[in-house]
Amino acid sequence: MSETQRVSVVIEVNGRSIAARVEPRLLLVDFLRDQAGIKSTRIGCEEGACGACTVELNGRTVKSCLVLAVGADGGHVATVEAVSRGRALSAVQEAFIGCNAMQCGYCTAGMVMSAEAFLKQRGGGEFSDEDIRHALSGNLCRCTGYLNIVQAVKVAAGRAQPYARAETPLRDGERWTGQPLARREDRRLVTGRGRYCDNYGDSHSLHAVAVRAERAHARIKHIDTARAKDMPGVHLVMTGAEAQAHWHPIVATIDMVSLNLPHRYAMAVDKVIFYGEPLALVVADNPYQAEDAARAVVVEYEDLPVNVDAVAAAAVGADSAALIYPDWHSNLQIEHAFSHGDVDGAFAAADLIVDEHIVSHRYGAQPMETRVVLANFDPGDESLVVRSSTQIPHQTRMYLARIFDLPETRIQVLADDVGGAFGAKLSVDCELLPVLASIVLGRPVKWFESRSEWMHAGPAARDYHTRSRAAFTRDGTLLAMETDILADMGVDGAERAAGLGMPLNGGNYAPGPYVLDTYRTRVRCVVTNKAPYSAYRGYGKDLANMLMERLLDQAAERLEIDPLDIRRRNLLHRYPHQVVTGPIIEQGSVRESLEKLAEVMDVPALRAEQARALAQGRHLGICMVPYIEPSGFAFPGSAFQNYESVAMRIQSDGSVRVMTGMQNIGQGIETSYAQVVADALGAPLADVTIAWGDTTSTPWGSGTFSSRGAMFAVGAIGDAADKLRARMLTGAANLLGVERAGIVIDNGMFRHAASGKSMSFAELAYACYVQPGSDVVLAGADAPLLEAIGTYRHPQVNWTPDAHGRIQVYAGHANGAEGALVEVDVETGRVDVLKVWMVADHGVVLNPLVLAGQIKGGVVQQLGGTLYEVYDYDEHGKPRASTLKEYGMPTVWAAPEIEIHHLTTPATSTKVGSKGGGEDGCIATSTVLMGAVEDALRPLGVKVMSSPLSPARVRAMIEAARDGASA
Amino acid sequence: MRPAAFTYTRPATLADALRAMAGGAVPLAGGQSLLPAMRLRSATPQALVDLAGVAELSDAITCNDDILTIGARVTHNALLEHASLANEWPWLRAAAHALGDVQVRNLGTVLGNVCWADPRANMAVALLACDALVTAVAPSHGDGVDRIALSDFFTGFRSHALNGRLATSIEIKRRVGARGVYLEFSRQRQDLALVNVCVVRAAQYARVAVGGIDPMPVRLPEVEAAIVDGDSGDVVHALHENLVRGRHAPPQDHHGTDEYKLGLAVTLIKRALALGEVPA
Repeated sequence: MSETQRVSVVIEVNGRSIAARVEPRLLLVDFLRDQAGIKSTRIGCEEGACGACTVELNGRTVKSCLVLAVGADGGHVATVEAVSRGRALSAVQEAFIGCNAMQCGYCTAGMVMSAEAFLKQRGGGEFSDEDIRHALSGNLCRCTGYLNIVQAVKVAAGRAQPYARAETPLRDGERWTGQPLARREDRRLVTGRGRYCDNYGDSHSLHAVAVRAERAHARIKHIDTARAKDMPGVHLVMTGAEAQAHWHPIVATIDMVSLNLPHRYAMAVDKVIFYGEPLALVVADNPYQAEDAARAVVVEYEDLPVNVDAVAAAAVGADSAALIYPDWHSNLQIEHAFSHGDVDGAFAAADLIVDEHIVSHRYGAQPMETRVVLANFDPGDESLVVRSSTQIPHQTRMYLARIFDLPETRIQVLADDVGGAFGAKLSVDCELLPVLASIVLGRPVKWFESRSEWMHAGPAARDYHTRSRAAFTRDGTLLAMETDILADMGVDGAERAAGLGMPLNGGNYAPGPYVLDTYRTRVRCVVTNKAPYSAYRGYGKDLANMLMERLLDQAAERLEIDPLDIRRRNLLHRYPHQVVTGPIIEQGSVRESLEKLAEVMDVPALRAEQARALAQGRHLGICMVPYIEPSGFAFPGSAFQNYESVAMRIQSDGSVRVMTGMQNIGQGIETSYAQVVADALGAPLADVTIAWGDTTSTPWGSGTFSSRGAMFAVGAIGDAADKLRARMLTGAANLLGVERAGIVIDNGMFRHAASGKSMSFAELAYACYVQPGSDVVLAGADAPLLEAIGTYRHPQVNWTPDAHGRIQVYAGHANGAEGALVEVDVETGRVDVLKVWMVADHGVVLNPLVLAGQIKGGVVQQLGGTLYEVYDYDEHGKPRASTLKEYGMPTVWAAPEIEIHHLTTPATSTKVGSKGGGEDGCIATSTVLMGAVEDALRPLGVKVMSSPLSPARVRAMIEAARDGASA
Repeated sequence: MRPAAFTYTRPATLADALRAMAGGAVPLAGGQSLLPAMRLRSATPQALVDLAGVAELSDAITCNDDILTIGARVTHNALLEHASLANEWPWLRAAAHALGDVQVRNLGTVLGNVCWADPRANMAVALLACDALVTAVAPSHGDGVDRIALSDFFTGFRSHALNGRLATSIEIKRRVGARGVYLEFSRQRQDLALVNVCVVRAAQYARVAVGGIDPMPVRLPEVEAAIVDGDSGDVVHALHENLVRGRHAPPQDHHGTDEYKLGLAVTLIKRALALGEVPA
């Protein structure tokens, strides 16, 4: 092999000249990250779609992943690090903070660069929202739904007001809880200082790349690694068969009786079962060399029949070669059935039966940061430190201990800032590869999943095929319902991915917030030769909502009842309301939310506009549905438990440190939990710090999923604060020499009104830690220290079945209603979402700014899934999309106007009165878009029972209706 | 993923660039299409010749008496910022504005977009409707310059007629009274179009270029003739006669059937004609 060419380059980065000899193929983004130490330029894709690596090169913004370092030789690069000076942020950065224009922050530095360039180019001149969108269309954000970013650009130009309240002192009677405070994490994120996994590692770190299957279902006949092993920089090439000596199969995320588990290793051993499944591992000095070597591994396959279609896969015989797991004797991972009441009798007596095949296609979470791991096994003391982009650091440590036979005490899992997750980082599979490599080599090994790997073999979701029926009387009363759900798990929805609960939720929650006692459901989870099936925001509540609401709209049309009236007739009246399948909706405002929605949408005005538009040949449509948001999933046979804890410590200067096993994945826990702590303790907000993401320093926690934090973390904070307040009051009474009962805690002070005496948290804490010491200060207290563990379990979770076999796996239920106005271009099939309205009830809201951001982001995410995003496969099981563009990630152009209203029904399960939130937008958005498109096309007789609502499919629906009408 | 290894030169002269190309090097201009393909390793050139330093390749747009010349290193954003071009050829501006995003347009070149020869390339379609020429030089030609009409330039899916020559500029003949419209249909704005059209009209003159319905951008001569004849019924008839399966072979993807894409082309051309600032 010829000598590798090296080229000398000198690039000025933020005013500093960096000289290096580089390979011609080195991308500027890698030069910046590895040679210039700039970590703000992040990698989220391979085709220059995401813009997270945007920098200024010679005065113009470019994507540094689409520039060669040699091409930038002699040039000047400015990154977000050059935007702020010392502590002083730019107007754009301040506006981003003030508008909550970021959540996970992974895209933020690039977004700021684009916003800065836009405003500089405009030079104070006029611009429109459309101009802003043009300027930001090269930067993808998966969290915010873009609207707050557009607002931030206007704020930076002095044309609009920020949304956030500054951390100014509270007025009398105010509490921190409920204040729309700017997020504390945002200063770090907006300056490019986010601490994502890929920041870490050094020049000694090696890089792992998976060799992946290029067949969807095939026996591995032979793997030739000889050439790869000889390539430059290669330290290790190991096949799945060789790896068996070093690890155990993946530990199941969900395990329960009646569930089939694959018991697969993280690398295929003798056959591959999906395109992109890892079958060997290559470790080299840098990712370029590792990829070269991975491509040099030669695999011989013997093809097996491929299961691409879930319906066909469900019918595969017990001895067929198409069985993915022959020991299962079928392709069914689980079949669940439930029936209550005389379903057949009710259908027989009905005035109207609606009967539809309702189908939701395959799409998924797609966070801007893919999965990234840095594993460091120290052979000296046989300890393992793993940094991972995960939602569940504690479970990850437990899984690692079992898979690698290591004592859990020798493993530390760190997960600092995580660049989005949405349920897709709730299990481990490929994350095990760099850990294996590090243990084998005794060196730090990094693995950074490429976007195309995620596209081909990463977590996917939805993909429901259903037949759903409902029986009604003539006046629209719902008599009975039946749902038959078949969901495509890909190769697995329970072991290496946690999506299997989604269709089960769909079946369990389809009766939703309606009065319905007669119901039958069957849920079949079928494996196919596709990528694993993962949890994804909405988690089947989307399906439940879709099944009921689409049937109700059909019934309303056929019975000629107003769609709102048919819901008014059937919605629950009283709380608590037990759903026929078991869940208990403890309290809420389902009816009120729907009425409020109809009011704020001004339905009569919209109907008039719709009629006017139709007269001009334009097709507008609206739809309104209620929704419930079950939250705080706690499932038997899983590490998702009805439990959370925090450790709370008053430090010697009186400041408060709260350590939690909840994981920050962009939802603002540093801020909203601090607000709760400040109120619960009476501590100054500025003195409260939330720490997370380290299994060594935080108590065991289940992590972040299922919108649980506002109940579980908040509940645990309340418990810890109660313990510490009691202890501190005892201490203050001892030190002040007054009766404890007369002491009031106020903003970090203990005040005794009768004596006029007072002291600060800092004085008490120092006295306790040092002089005169805790023996004196805390005499009479329950424990001699200013640190407490607080725990929480939700009273409503119940795993003991009743006579009908019903349990309660969800803690609480938020609720709301969603509506949409769309326009359909009947010639092209394009759907434009003109506006979305949300009415949401989460009880007492911790931070309205954070919640609104979650709602907007969720709406745009599910809108993207419904209209644009598709995972699909050819007949050989090969994925068709490799890039974000092909997949259809929503850009800034996708974001409609979103108007949000809140109702407040305080939860009784937490002292604060808060319920889970964050999935709202991913529950009813598909339903309302399908309903609104159907409403727009009603004059053409189109029924919309499936997604995606891509232009081609919508156009096909119109043509089918036309052909049907003329037939 | 990252690109496979290649050797790299950045010559200062056209002669050196041509020499490198003769040795098999692939020319690199803005790189906004080539680098993504290299990152995915669907393109694995053994050698690149970076044109950024070639003095003879212009980064200017020049308007002589009746010829507009777009230099090889003119980026999309440079084209957008060129005032008189925007006034006189607004459809070129529209095509460039709908292309990629700010960052891509800051580096990507107009000529590079044409030479990438994707059937849906915005500039390729818009320039095809302008009877544009590509100027090219060959290693063996000395100082000779070839002029290739865009209608002869595209030879298949992402392939062109350069055959080892280096494209050096685009020339458009100014046509008095010409008016044109560029329209595209993409899933989201600024995505790669599913179908894009450019219609240019002048006295006794019409050009209809369409991308996304064949392996390369194509013109529709029968439709052009019908437009020149001036009967809108004939135009519609010609559209429906022409844009049918069998006569066209759209690139295969999961965004729509052949019939759907051909239907889009009909719709877009109708809209372009209705919207075009054409004297009745």
